[in-house]
This record gives sequence, structure tokens and C-alpha cells, in this order.
Amino acid sequence: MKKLELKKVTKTLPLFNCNPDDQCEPTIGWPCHPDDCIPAGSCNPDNWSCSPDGTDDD
Amino acid sequence: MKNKEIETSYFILAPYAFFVKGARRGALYDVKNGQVFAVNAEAVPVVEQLEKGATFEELRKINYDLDNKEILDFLLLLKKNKLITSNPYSKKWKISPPKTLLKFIWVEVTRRCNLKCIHCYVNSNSCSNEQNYTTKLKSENWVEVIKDAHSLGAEAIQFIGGEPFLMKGSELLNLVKKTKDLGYKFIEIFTNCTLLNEEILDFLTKHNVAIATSVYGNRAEIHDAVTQIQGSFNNTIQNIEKILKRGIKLRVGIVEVGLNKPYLNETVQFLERLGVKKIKIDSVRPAGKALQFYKEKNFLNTNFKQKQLPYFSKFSYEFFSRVHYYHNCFGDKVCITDSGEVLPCIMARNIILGNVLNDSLKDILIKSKEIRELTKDKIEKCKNCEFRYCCFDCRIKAIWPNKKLISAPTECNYNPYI
Repeated sequence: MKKLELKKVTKTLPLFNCNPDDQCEPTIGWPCHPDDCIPAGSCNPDNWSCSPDGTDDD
Repeated sequence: MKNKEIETSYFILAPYAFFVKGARRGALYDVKNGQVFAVNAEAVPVVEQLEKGATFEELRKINYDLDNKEILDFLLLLKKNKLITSNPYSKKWKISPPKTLLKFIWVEVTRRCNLKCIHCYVNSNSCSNEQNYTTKLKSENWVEVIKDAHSLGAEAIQFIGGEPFLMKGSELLNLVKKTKDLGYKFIEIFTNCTLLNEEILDFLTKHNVAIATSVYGNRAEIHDAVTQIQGSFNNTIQNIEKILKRGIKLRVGIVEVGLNKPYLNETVQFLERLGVKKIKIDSVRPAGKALQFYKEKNFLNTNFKQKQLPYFSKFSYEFFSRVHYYHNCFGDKVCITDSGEVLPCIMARNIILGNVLNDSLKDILIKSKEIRELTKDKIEKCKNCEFRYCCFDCRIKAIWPNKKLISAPTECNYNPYI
């Protein structure tokens, strides 16, 4: 395991049918803002199994 | 870049790369491409050194436990993701506050509605179709408010209710027309789509007005169970078809209210088959009738867990800059109700910033600095989280029930301390 780690944690969320260039831009309401497009993380940063299927998309 | 070159080069974070430190770890934000990278605890001092600029030799001195290959690989990874540069003169991008007080307003023209949705965010007593219902804001007041908001920077507006098409006569269309003439770039009406007619559809087409609506299921028995009005499904769907046929911009939200949960995917597919392009599954907020869901433990268990997704959506440079100064919602958006009350969010029914019948919108915004400037740097837990400038915070959910305005978000599972 690497000591120095860098992990991309930005991804699109197909579950919510979000398009980051469109609906996720919190400019217009739904009526309130699409907060589920930018959810808080729940992964354990020490093991980095972040993506839903446990794999990195890079 | 070869290893030998790296060992003799100088590196500094790219001008659009920003490092944010959390309690234990850190995050590197690429604000040009809207990406965020998690940095583990061991790498934090290395990235901190790269913020100032460093040679390979200087990085080696940070931690002698790290071998050369480890540092080389890390630099290569940063280089691959375009997070570092060797140009010491590259000009750092600025994080500036927004230039305007407002960007978007909700205009809640009426609390009356012809449906009785079980999750309506407006106080339940007001959702009924009361004959003696009166609104404090008249058309002339609305024009002034919308004009004031535009002068404060608002370029996007959403007319909402209740059901906005229950405004008397053609008042809504007149108001929309005046809004258009003021120069708003985006005008949307959030309607249940049951009261549309050819005249309205002609108007929406002619003036390029967008529509947003809610559909709760792919079948009448599901949708009508939520709206509590038989026939509402058929009415809404027929009008959605007419909207699509005319090419009017349309967004459809599927609000999950428990009873429709098993049918969410089918509903998305049903809407896609109709030709709807923008579909979003949404959750209820603790406001109005929807409070009942928050009081039911089962609902909390399913819905609060639903969104514990461990990654973030892409964000914009504008968003990253703005959340350094303002709350992600309260900073540049307000809702004005039919009684003139100004709320920081349409769901924030108990946070009243002022009333446009008593004060100017500008004065109300200036006086509500504490709410508007509630950045995540002030919110419990968020203030020590490295992801605080790309994460989206819903204060309405966080403060329910009876919590402090700065309470940690209820839905966030990430622990920046361990």
C-alpha cells in the first residue's frame, strides 16, 4: 500500500440521473436545490473503497 | 517526464489547484475541471510544501521514512492529474466573493392548491382550496419585488405555490410577462400541470418559459394516492405530453414519499418513454406536511441512509468560490411568500428574514448576514472536513428537530477526525 495517496472522489451519480454540467449546478431550484447531486462521503478514507462497486473509475 | 527530470525540477500547485486541510487529511481541489482529490494524512505535509513550491530534495526532507520512489510516484500522479506545475510564475486563481447579492428567487404566488399532496412543504392547513383565502401581496407588489430582486442580481426565477395557476384570472401570465420584460434570463413555473390549457401553453411557448413538475408514480393509483385527488395523474400526464410536443423546457421531479419507493425506477423509465429528458428523484424536507415522514422512524431509516454516497459531483469554480463566503443555498437565493415573508430557502418555513411589505429586499438581505454567511467553516464537523468546499449542505434537514443553526449535517457519514 502506498504511503502517499491521492484519490479522485468526484464522479457523476447515475442513480440520481444527474448531469454535473446541468442539473447539479445549484443555480435553480427543484424547487429546492439538488443536494443529492453532491452528497457527503461515507467511505473510509483509509481504505479508499469509495465507489459503489468498490472500484476506482480511473 | 522522466524520473531524473523530476528529481531536478521545481514543483508548485497548479494555479487552479487549491489544498484544503481537514482534521486529519486533506483535499486537493481542481477548480478548473471541478474535480476533488482526497489526500491521505501522510501526504498532507507534502502537499502543503507544494503549495509554497518545492524541489524534489526539499520534499524528501519532510519525511525521511518515505523513500525516493514513493515521492516520485506521488509527484507523477499529481502531474498526471495536472495538479502541479513547474512554472513558479503561474498566477494563482482568485477566490472572490460573488458580485451580486442574489442569483435566484422563488416566488410563492399562492398557497392555494387543487391537490392535497401528503408531503406538501407548505403548512397543511393552507394546502386546501379555501374559498376565503387571501394573499397579502398584490400583483403590483409582486412586480416591485421581482424588479428589486433583479436589480440585486437575480437572473433566474421560479414561480411556485401552492399551485401558481390558481392565481386569480390571468394574473400569473401577466406577472411572468413583466418578469420577462425586466430581463430575467431563466423563468420557470413549478406547477402540478393539472390546470394548463391551450392559451397557457401558447403563452409558455411564445415567451420561452420553462415548466417544472412532480410525478409520483408510473400509474394513477400511485400518483393519485400521493396527491389525494383522483384523476390528477391522467391530467398531469396529458399536459406533460402537450408540453413535450410543443418543445417547452420541462423538468420532472419524482419526490420519494415512502409509498412510491418501490416504483421509482419504473417511474423514471415511464417518463423517459414519454420523452422527458430531465428527471430527478428527490426527497422530502422536514417542512409542512412532510414533517410526518420525519417523525416516522422507518422513513428516517430508509431515506437518510439512501444518500450516503461516498463521492461528490463535479463542482464549478463559481461554487467553490461562493461557499468560501456564503452558505451554498442561503447566500444568493431567497423565497418570497404570498404574505411578503422572505425565507432563505423555500423549505425554511421557520426562518423568516423579513417582510417585503415592511422593508426593502436589499435591507432584508443585508440584515440577514448571519444566515447568508453561514459557510461550512462555521458548521460543526464541516469546519474540520477537507471536503467542505465541494459538499452540499441542506440546513433544513440538519436543524430538524430543534437543533442549532450550526449543527453538523444529519446525513453525512464521513468522519474527518478518525
